[in-house]
Amino acid sequence: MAALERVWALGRGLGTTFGYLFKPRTTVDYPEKERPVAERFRGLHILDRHDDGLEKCVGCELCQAACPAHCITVEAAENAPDAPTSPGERYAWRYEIDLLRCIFCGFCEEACPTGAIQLTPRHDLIGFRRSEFEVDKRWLTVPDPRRATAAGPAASGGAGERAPGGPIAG
Amino acid sequence: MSSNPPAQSPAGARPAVDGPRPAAPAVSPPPPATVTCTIDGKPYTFPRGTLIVNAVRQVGHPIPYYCYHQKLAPVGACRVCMVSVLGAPLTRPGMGPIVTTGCTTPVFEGLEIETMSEAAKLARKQVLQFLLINHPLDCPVCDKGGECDLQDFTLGYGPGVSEFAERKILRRKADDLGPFLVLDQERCILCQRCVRYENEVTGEQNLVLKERGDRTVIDTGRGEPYSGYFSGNNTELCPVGALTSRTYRFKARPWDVRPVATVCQGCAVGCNATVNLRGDRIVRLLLRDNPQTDGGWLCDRGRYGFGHTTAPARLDRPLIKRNGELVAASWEDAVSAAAAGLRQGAAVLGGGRLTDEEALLLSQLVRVGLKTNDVDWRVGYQTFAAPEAVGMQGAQIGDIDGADLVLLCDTSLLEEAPVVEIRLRRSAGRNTSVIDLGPVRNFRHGPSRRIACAPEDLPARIAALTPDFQAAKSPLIVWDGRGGEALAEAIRGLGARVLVPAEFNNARGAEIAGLVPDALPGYHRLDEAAVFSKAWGAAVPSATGRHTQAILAATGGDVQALYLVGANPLRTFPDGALAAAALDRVGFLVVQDLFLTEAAHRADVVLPALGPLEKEGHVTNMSGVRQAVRRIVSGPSGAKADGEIFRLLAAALGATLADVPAEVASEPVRLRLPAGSASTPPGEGLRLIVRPALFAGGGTAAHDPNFDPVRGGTVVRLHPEDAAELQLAEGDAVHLQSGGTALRAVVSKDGGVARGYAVLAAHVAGVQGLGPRVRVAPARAEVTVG
Amino acid sequence: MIRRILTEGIDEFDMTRLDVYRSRGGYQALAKALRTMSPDDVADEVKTSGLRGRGGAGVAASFKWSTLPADGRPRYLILNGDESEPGSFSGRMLIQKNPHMIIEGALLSAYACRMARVFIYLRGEFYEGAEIMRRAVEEARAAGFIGERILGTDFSQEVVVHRGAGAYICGEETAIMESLEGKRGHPRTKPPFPTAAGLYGMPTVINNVETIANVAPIVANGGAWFAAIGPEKSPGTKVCSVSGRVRRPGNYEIEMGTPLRELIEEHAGGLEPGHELKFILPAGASSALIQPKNLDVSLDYDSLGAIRSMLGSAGMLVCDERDCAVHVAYLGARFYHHESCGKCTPCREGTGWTERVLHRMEHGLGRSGDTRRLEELCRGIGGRKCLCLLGDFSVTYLQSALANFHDEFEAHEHGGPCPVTAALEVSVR
Repeated sequence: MAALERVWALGRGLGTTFGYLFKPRTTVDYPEKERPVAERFRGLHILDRHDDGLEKCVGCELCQAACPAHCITVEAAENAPDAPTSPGERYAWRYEIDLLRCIFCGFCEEACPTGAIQLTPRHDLIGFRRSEFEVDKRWLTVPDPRRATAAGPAASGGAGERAPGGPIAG
Repeated sequence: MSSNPPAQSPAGARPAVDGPRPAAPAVSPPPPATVTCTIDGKPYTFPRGTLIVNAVRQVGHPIPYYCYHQKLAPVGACRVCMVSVLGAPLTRPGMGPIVTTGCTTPVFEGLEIETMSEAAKLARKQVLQFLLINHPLDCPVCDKGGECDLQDFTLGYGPGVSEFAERKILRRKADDLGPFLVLDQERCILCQRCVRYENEVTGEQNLVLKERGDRTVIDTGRGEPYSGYFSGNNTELCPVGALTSRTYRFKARPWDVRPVATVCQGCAVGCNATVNLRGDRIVRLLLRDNPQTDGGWLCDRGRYGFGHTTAPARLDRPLIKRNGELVAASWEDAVSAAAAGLRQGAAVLGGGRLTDEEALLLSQLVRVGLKTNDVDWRVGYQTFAAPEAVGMQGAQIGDIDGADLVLLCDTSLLEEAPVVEIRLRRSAGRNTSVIDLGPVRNFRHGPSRRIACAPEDLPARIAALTPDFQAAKSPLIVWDGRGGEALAEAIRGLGARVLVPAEFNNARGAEIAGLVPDALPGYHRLDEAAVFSKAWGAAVPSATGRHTQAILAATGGDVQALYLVGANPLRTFPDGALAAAALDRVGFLVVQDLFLTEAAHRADVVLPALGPLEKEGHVTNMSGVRQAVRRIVSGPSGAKADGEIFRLLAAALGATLADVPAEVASEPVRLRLPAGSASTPPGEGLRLIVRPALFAGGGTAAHDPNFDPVRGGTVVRLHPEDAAELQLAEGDAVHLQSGGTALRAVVSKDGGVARGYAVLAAHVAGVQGLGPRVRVAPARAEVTVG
Repeated sequence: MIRRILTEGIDEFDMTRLDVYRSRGGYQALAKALRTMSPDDVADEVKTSGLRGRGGAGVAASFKWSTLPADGRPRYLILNGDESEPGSFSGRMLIQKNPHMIIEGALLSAYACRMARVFIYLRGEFYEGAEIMRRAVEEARAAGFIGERILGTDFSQEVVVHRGAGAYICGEETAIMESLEGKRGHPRTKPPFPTAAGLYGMPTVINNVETIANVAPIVANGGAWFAAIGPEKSPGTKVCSVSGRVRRPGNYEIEMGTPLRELIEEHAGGLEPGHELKFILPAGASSALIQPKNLDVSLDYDSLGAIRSMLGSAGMLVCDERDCAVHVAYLGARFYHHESCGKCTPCREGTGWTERVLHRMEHGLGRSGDTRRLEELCRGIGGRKCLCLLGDFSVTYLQSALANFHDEFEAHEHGGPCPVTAALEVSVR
C-alpha cells in the first residue's frame, strides 16, 4: 500500500509539472528579451545633452544636495569660453554616482534645474566588482550627437552605447 | 522738522557720512541714554540712536535687508527693511501707521514698530519683485547660491511669482575684476555695500557706481583692474553673487563645506578667520571678527593665502645631498645625518614662523641638544619683536583707534600688517594725525604729514618730533624694528607706546621662547642657565651666543654647521653677500622648510616641514596676543611638524626635550640691538633701499599658486624725476648694477619715493645681493623703445 | 493790471549788464540792507512778506532760514538752479535774463542768515545760463558787490557758480549737496535735514533761484508790500511756463491767485482754434493733471492743493484732444526712467518697468492686464517707499492719468495703432 501511495504522489507531482506545459509562460528570455517596465519607472541614470551637443549639467550640485543616500558627487569648474562643455559659465568636471548606494528615488531628477540628470527605464544593474558600480561622467553622459554624426553611423539607443568600463560593459 | 536726532550708526561703526559732518549740536539738558519703544506689541528699551533694523534684530524678530551692514554706515538704498511705525514725529497725531525703512530710522521714545504688518509685508514684496526683474536668476551656476540673501529673502518675504513679462537688461557677466574678484553686473542689486566699503573702510574707491537709473552698474573707475589688498572683503559684503572670488569660483557649495575657525598666519596681525573645507581641501577663508586683532576685515594675502597647502612645489620627503645632488631619503637617515652634522659647532637661524610651542622646543634643542646659545630668529631686517624687550612700552593693535598721533617710522603698515592699516586709515580720517617719516611714503590712503628723510637721519628727525608727542594725549609709534640702537634710543625718548609689525608671523613667539643669543625663554638672563638646566634635566650653556650677523661671519670658522629653521637668509638677510658667502663656507647645512628654497638647494640635509594651517599650537601676534591655531589640513604626507622634527633631532642627539617650561623669577633681560648705520653709504648711483611688499616674498606667499597673478616680476620704484633723468619710462626693463652683481627689474614711477632712491621689494630673490648703491641702466635699448 | 516783479524790464533791456541793472534800481536793496538794516531786519522783512519757496513744495522761505541752528558752524546757501522739470523753463529765463537780481537776492539772503558762502547750482545743460551767471558774478565782484567788505561794510561774501553734470535728481535738495561736494548726485537719507547737516555737514539752506530773486524787491519795497500782492497765504507773483497746445507758449509772470483760465486763454493765447482742452499738467511731469472742469482754479499753492494737484514749478503742459493719455504717460515714463538716479530700488527698477510697459502699449504691443499692471506699479513705487520724493513724483501724473483716462489705457491693451489718435482725422505724430 505504501508503495502505491508513493507512486500516486509522484504521479500527482508530475501531473502538476506537466500541467504547466500547457499554461501560458510567465517568464521571459532575459536578457535576450525584456519585460516592459512601467512608464514612470526609475532606473539607471543618464546625463543628457542639449541638441547642440553641450552638456545640460551645469554642475550646480543640487542633485547632490537633494540625494538622500548621498551617492552623488559633483564638482564644478569654469567653462573654457572658446570650447565650452555646457552653456554658460559652469560645468561639472566630475559627476559620480555610487549606484550601489542609490535608492532610485528620483530626487536628483526633480532637483535638477536643467533636466540634465534623468532616470531611464533601464534596470540592468550588474557587475562583478564594487568599483564597477561607481560610475562617472563618461558612463553617465549620453553620446554627443554632433560627434555621432561626424563619425558616420547614427547613435542607436543612447544608453546601449555607453563607454566601456561600466557595469553593463560588453 | 529737524528735531529728530541724525541717524547714528551702532557703536564701533563709522558715523553716518563720509563727508566732514560733525556731531549734532549739544542740546541741554542731555536726553536720556535709553528709549523705550514697542516692537510687535511688546515694550523694549534700547540705547538712544539704535536703528530700528538693529532693534528688531536684537529682540529676535526677522527683518530682511541688503544695503544695511553692521560695519558700514546706513544708506537706505534697497528699501527692503520696511516696517510699520507709529509715533510722532514720524506720523502726525490722528494719522495711522506709515511704512518706513528700518535702517535709516533710529528708535525714539514711544515709537510703535510692527514688523509684519500687512502694509510692511506688501511693501517688501513689491521691492523684492522690483529687485528681481533685472536679476538673471542664474542661481544654479552662481557661487552665492545657497548663502544668498536674495534667495533667502525672496523665499521669506518675496512674491511667489513675478508679474514681470518684459525683457531683462543684459550686462557684463563673469568679468575678472583684477586677480581675485569676479564681477557679474547682472546679479548686482546695487545695494552699494562694496562701494561704501571702498569709501568708508579702505578709502581706495576701487569700485564705483557708473551710469544712472536701472542702467547703474558697479565697476572700477576707468575699467582698470581692481588693485588693492582688501578686495576679498567685497565678496563677503556682497549679499548676492555679483562679486565672487576667483579662487573659490565653482569650487564648492555652502552646504558641502565644513567651517573650521582658525587664525591667519600670513603676517603677525593674527586675523581670525574661518576656513571652509570641502572634503580635505581648503576652498576659502571667511571673516571671523575679532576686535582685538583684525577689526572685522581680512586682507587678500590672508584670505587667499592657502595655496601652499596643496602647492605642487611642496617638499614631501627628506633630502640628503649625495655626490652634489639632493636625493630623497628616509626620515631616519635624514635625521641621523642631520644630527651627525650638527653635533659639532652648530648654530641655528630662524624660528620666526614656528608656533610658540615649537619655538620653545627649538630653544631647548639648541641649548641641551646642540649645547650652544648661537641661535637667532632675526634673519631679516627686523631687530626685535617685542617692544618691551628693548625697553619700550608696547601697544595693542586696537590702540590705533584711540590714538591722536601716530608716527610711522619708516614702516608700511599696508605691506607689513595690512589689516592694521585699515584701522589707521579710518582713524586718520577723523581725529588721528599721522606722521609718515622715512625715505618712502608709506601711508597713501589718508591725510598725513610726510617727512622725507634718509634712514640714518631718522633718529634726529624723531628727536625733533618731541614737542608734537608731548602735546599729544595718546601718541603711538609704529616701527618695524629696522635700524638699530640709535633709532631705538630716539624712539624711547618720545615715551610713546610702540607697535611693531613683524617680518615673520610668529617673531614674537620665537623671541619669548628664547630664540635669541642673549636670553633664555621668557627673556630670562643667561645667568639663570642653572635653573633651566634643572628644569630641563640637562646642562644649559650660560655664555652669550652670537646674533645672525656674527653667526654668518663665523661660518667656516668655529661655526661648522648651520641649521636653518624656516629661514632663507639669502632672500631675507640685508647683507645678502655675507649670507651667500656664509652658506657656501659652512661645513654642514641643514634646512628645514616647506619649499626647496635657495638655501635648501645648498643644504646637506633638507627636512620637509608642515606649514600654517597644517599644525596645532599657538601663535603670538605683533602686540603679544596669543591665539590658538589648528591643524586643518594634513599637508604633504612625507612632511612633519617642526616640533616633531625637533624631537627626532633631539633624540638622535641624545637629548630629551622637556614638556614643561622652566618657572623662573628674575628681571627680564633687555635685548641687545645692533648699533645701526649712521652714515650715508658712499659711492655713485641711486641709493638702494629694500622694503617689504605684501605679495613679493614671505614664507608661503612666494610659492603660493593663488598669488601667481599678483607677484609679477621684480619692480624697482623710482621717483618720477629720477626716472626722467635716467630717461626711463614706466614699465621699462632695467639692470640694477652694484659692484659685481646685477639684477633685472622693471621700472615703476612712484612719487612717494624720495629723490635719489631706488626701492625694491624685500624677500625677493637677488635683491639682497645688491649693495647699498645701484646704477640703473636700461636692460636693452630695444626694450625701452619697445 | 499785470504786476511784474521778476521779469520787469527783461524784455526791453539787457539786464544781464550790471550798469543796466543798476540803472533800474539794482543793488540798491543790498546797499540799503547793508547800511541801514541788521541781518535780522532783513530776515524779518522776508518773514513779513510771506514769501514761499518757488521750487515746488511751497515751504515758506523764512521757515527754512529760521531752523538754522545757532552753533557757530559755517552755514551755506545753495541756490537751486537745476531746473529739470519737463515743461518748466522760468528759472532758465531768470538766470539768462536777470542774473543780477538772483545775485542780489542771494547776497541779501546770505546777509540775513549769516552765510559763509553762496553756491549757485545750475543745471548741467545750462551752458549759456552758467556763462551769463559767471559773467554777472564777475561783474558784480568787480563792482564790489561780491568779495571782501562789500560796499565798504563789514559784510563779506563769496558766490560760487557751479554747473552740474545734467541730472534731474540734482534738483533734489540733498542730491544737490552731494553733487556740489563732488560726489554722485544721489539723495541722502533724511534726517538729518540740510538745515542741521547739509553741504559738507554744515547747516545749509537750499532755495530755488526764483525764490531768492524775490528777496531783493522784498527788501527794497518792504515785506508788507510783497504780502499785499496776491492771496494772503501765497503772496507775490509766479513766473509760469506754459507749453504744449497753446497759441503763445512762453513764460508769463502772473500774480498769485490768477485763475488758470486767464493764464491759458488770455496770456498764452488759448488753444489752437477748433481744438478742445483735454488736460493740463501744472507742474511739469510731477503733478496730478488738471481737468478742464477745474480750469477756473486760482493759481496758488493752496488752491491747487485743494484739487489734489500742485503748483510746483508752474510748468504748465497743455494737452488737447489730439494728445493720447498713453502717449503723454509714455513720455513721462521715459523721462523718469532716464532720470531715475538708481539709488533706491522701487524708483530704479519701477520706472524702467513702467517705461517698458508703456513703450509696448504706445507701440501697439499692449497686452491684456497692462493697465492693471501699471496701477500696481504705481502703488509699488509711490506711497513714500522711495528714498526721496522723486519716486512719488514719478507716479503722481501716471496715477491721475490712469484714473482720468482709464478707458484710453484699456483701449491700448489690445495692440495695434493708437485708438485715440486713430479716431481723429489729423494724425499728430
